[in-house]
Amino acid sequence: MNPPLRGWFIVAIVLLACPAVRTQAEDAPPKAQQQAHRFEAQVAPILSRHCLECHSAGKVEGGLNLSRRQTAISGGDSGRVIHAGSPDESLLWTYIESGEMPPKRPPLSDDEKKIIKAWIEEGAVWTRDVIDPGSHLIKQSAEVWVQRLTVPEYVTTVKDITGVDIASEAARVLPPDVRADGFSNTAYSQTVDLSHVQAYAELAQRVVQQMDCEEFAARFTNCRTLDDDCAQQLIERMGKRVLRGPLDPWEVESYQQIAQAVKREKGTFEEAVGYILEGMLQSPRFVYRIEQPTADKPSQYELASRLSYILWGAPPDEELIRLADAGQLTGGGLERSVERMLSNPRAKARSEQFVRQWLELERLDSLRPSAKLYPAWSPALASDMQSETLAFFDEVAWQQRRPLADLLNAQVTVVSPRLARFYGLNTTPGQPLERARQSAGGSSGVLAFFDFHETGGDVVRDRSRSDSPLYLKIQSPENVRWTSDGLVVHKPTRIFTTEPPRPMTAALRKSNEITIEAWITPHNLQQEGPARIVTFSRDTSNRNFTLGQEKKKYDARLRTNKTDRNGMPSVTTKDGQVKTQRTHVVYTKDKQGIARLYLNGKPAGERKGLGNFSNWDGEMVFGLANEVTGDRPWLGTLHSVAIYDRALSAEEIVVQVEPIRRYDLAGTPERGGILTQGSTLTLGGDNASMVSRGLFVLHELLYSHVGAPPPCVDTSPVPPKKGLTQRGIAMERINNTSCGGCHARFEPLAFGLEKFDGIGGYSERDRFGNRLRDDGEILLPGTEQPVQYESSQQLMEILASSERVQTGITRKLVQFAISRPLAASDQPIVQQIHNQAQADGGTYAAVMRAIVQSDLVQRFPSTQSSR
Amino acid sequence: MKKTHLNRRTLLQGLGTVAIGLPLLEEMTVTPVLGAAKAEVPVRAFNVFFGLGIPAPLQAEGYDGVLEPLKPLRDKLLVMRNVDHVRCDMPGINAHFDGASAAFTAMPAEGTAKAGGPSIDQLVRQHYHPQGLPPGMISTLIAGTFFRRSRVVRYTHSFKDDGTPAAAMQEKPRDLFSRIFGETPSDSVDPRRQRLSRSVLDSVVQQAKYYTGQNSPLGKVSRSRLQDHLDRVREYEQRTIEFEKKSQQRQQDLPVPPASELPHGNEADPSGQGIDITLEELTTEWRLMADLYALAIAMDRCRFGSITFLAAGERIRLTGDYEFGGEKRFVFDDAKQLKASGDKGCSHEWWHKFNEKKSNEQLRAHAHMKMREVAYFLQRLDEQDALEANGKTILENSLFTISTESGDGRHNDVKRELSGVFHAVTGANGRFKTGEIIDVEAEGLDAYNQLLRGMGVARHLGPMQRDTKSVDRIRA
Repeated sequence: MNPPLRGWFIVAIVLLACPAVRTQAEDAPPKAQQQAHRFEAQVAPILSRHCLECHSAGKVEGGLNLSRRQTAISGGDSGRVIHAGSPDESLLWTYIESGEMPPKRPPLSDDEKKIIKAWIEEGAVWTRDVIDPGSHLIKQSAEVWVQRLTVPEYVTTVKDITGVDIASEAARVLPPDVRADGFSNTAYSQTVDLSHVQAYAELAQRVVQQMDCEEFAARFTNCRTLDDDCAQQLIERMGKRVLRGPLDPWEVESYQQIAQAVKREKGTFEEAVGYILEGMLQSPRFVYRIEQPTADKPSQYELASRLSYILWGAPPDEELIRLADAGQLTGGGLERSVERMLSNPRAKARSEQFVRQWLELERLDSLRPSAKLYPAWSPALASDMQSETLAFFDEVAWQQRRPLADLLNAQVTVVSPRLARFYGLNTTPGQPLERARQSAGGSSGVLAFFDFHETGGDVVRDRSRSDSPLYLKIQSPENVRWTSDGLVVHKPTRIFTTEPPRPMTAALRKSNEITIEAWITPHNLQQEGPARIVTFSRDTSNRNFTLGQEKKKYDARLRTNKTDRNGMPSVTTKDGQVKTQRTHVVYTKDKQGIARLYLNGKPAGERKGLGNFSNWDGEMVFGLANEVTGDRPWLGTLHSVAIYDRALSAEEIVVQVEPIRRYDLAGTPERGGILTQGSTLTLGGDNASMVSRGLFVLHELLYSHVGAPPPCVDTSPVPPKKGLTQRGIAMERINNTSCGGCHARFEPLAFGLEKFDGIGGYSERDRFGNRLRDDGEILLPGTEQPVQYESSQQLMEILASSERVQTGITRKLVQFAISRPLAASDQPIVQQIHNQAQADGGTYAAVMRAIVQSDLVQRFPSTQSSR
Repeated sequence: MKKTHLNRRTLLQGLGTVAIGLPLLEEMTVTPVLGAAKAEVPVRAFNVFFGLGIPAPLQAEGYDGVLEPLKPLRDKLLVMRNVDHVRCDMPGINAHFDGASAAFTAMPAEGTAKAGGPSIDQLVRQHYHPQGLPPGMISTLIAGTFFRRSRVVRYTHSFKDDGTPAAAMQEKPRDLFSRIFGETPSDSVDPRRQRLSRSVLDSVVQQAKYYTGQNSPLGKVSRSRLQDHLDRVREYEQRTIEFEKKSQQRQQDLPVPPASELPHGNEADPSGQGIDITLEELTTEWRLMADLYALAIAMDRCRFGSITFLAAGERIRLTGDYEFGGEKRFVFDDAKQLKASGDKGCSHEWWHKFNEKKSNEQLRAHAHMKMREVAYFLQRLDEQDALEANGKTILENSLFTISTESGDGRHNDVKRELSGVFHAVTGANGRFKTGEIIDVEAEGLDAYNQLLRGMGVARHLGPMQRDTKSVDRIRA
């Protein structure tokens, strides 16, 4: 029995003679322009949404390909379907009108039908060689929403302007950015709620509390009084910096009222500066990137902000403001500024944000594959996978400055020893990366984490994501020195919480496990007591735990129901183990009651028979570098300290010590490029789903889409078994007449990855003993001929050399830069950006250069409604 | 002072085993702002969403099937069968998302965090409060217990005209509590600091006013965003004033609900692979959320919004004994029963496996449980202490629209999947029939627009011009 006639095959059977379709706008403008516009803005999107699923190069139902001008005009198996000027003779129209097309999909709306009919009546002008569904499928208007600073942008902006790092507080009180359409900076989704307003107010207050307001004001004025002229000068100058451009008179007046209020309350100049700054830091002009599109181009200050947030994710610096003052952010001045900005480390940090969001690396934080199927999985391995992709991007984009398409096939990676072992890399690693600074807190389960990145002050901040972060007060700030490498304690001081850390106590009591991890450099080999490095105690003989130094030994005491109140007996290293050099010290106690000490990743002490934490004292305080009584001081440098609610394994501890290294993958051809990294391979879930992996490539690299499953198909997943691999299951779908049209477009994109299991491990056979393959054939969107490949390496080379993939990466960067999904109307500019970037080498810098020079950044949208 | 009708003790008992210390807020022991004691019953509209839906053939069983838990409320509900959201199908996007965005808007989504238009509750709110709600009230309250979060529209169900969420989602009891009752500002006890903070806030308000006023340089959508900001700043200001007053009366820290024990953020949706959870864990926190939300309504802190019990396309591997009416009905153990791990071991799969010729035992148990929990929330507003001045309960006086994402879970027929989507509504103070099950056989747009007309709202959802179908039958 013949298969049922489907798609435009039916309509192509009958064809009436008619005038040729006009292939370009032949009439004089503006009519030609109107017709071209109608096709670009209305007809092509409708065809994309309703027709190309079955009538494009990937699936040519009835022999009709409506994605190309030439094939659309030629018609299907039986002839033409579009008769210019005669809708009633055009089967394209009559079948749409009757609702027979598209089959078993929602019909076109009345408005869409009118557009198609009018287009044919007016001559069916077809202005594009190829309709790219990827540019039209999302019916998204190019609405330009005001952009609220994302959490990272807010933190960076505050720090750049005031010097105060508010990251941990912001993470606690600001609602997280909502991911929408692939990125977390999508402006339309940056809604505002009471919690934002409360957080901005609270954070502004905290920032000011941590500042020397008088010193800050001195950057802008020498005045030190609250008289009107003085206040005005301060507000104008300070406001220009904080609010990223000059203030209008009404704004100055508004802030002057704060100064007057302080004056009425008999407050000081410094106090007034603080309150004015509080106002500015929570003002709409600060938390939003507000622009005033009164002309067709952004002002110089608006442009400065656009450049800085796009390239740095940070506010304009003083140099940018200076150039904006002078009107020099144009021409050569603009080019030089862009180059300066791209050579600034902030540009690299911004690119890391892009990669994190594009590939949704945060999902690895919570990934929990089946322990039965994947016993090798651990949160630490997930963290390594995140780090690999970020370091790999850094290597390709910044160290080697290669074209971004090389992200698909660069034969290099940068991984931890743990991940290298998991991948089975048998090549010789390169030198440790200098740029990878070792730090505590690298595994999951962190309850408190101190990296001592503060630049000053008397408070040590907890950088963990705990809901109840610890704040440690330095009793004698003059006895410490803040450095880029940590906190140097050169004279005795207490560094303690002001209240008992009850949530930490509760968490540890619940788990009955603990790890204390510290990177330290002891100052000498004479300190004793033991000298307290990390302690959670009441006095010299009552503690929950203490990690200390006893001259040339490390000593750790832990209270359990099988030790005394002083945590004795303790675990101690051998004599002579303490060196006055950077040292990684770890103490763990697991559920089996075994306590261990590790030095630089190696076991250095052990004691069995410890109990649980049921007898812990909930009123003790947590601190560093001394006993709470102040008489067991420890001197040295604290580089980082972390407390975990679990006992890290020996392997995890080793990895914390071993640095990540670069690996040349020339001898490991199956690996190379982001698609062969654990961070993206885990997208397939436990079953290494070819559907998920293929759709990821299709959506994220090839900017293409497929329709939902067609009718009458059982979509229940079929598990692999002996004799049936994932690929075999995929082939069944592809060969199914109902499924194959779409699945053939994306599952083969993942065939080359079949040898990678659900967490990215590589093997020649699956768990049922089936031999796996990595060859295949793909048809890239927008092309006519499928391409064969023999291995995953070849697949990666095909993708890397594909114009489609290169454009796909450009589009992602453009979307991230302008904080909104691309609309059909953006396509011409995006294409210009891409062409220019490719001509300039296709590197990250080249793409960013082209973006900031494009009309998407240099101009306002043409219509008011889009602003 | 007259005591509120809301029995706080009942509420606390309703919190079950959760150790909650509700603050002795003045509002909880005195007459609510505009609630029960007023002769005029306020207009309210809420959307209640539950994930994964009820296949149309199971709806046909009425209250004898999975709808059994709603039976005690049957006289106060109108079940609408054969509501069709097919127009909301989007090529390339699965029906979990299409259906979720269709719920309460009847329009296809415009982005992963953007619905295709406003939701029912918001049009009612705009009609009755064009200038905003009275000071101190929450404009829109959105809350829920859910895990799947790859797209905002899966779990948020109250949208503004531009399709963006009408408020932020509150998904932890403590956050919901703070949103309803506020937190004590840390420096509220220092009067001088309070005065100076007020002047700081004035500058913020002044700037926000400029960007939303007639001379604003901003475009329409941006101005709307700044208007939200201004509204929230004013609310913050109002709360600050309230707290300043209270702090003079009572210098005590307010206790708050316990910290959430359920996963949130990425932890709740690990790469779409699902989470393990017990029935007790799920329902304990949900019921606390439901209690708090109901309390917010009863105290007239909010009149519009949405509440969600499990997201569209939710992925959980549920375990635990399921009891109803004092008898054990089922034992949930999804992964074991599905013989799979990860996403394939989630209850979601029972919907894919639905077959009307089979018993669908597991799906029925899950759907029944969801109805039990929806009923729990509704009952909070239908108890003796929820009676209002007209002698009816809050449930009877308000418009609660209860819906879900699809009418069939097999993903294999858009027509069927987005047709027959479960809908039930309350009578809205006599505006709509109750105690019936009606085959409306109409698009969601027609049904929703009929609800809006019934509520006296002039605006309607969807395109200006389209062939409409009357569903007058639902009107009382």
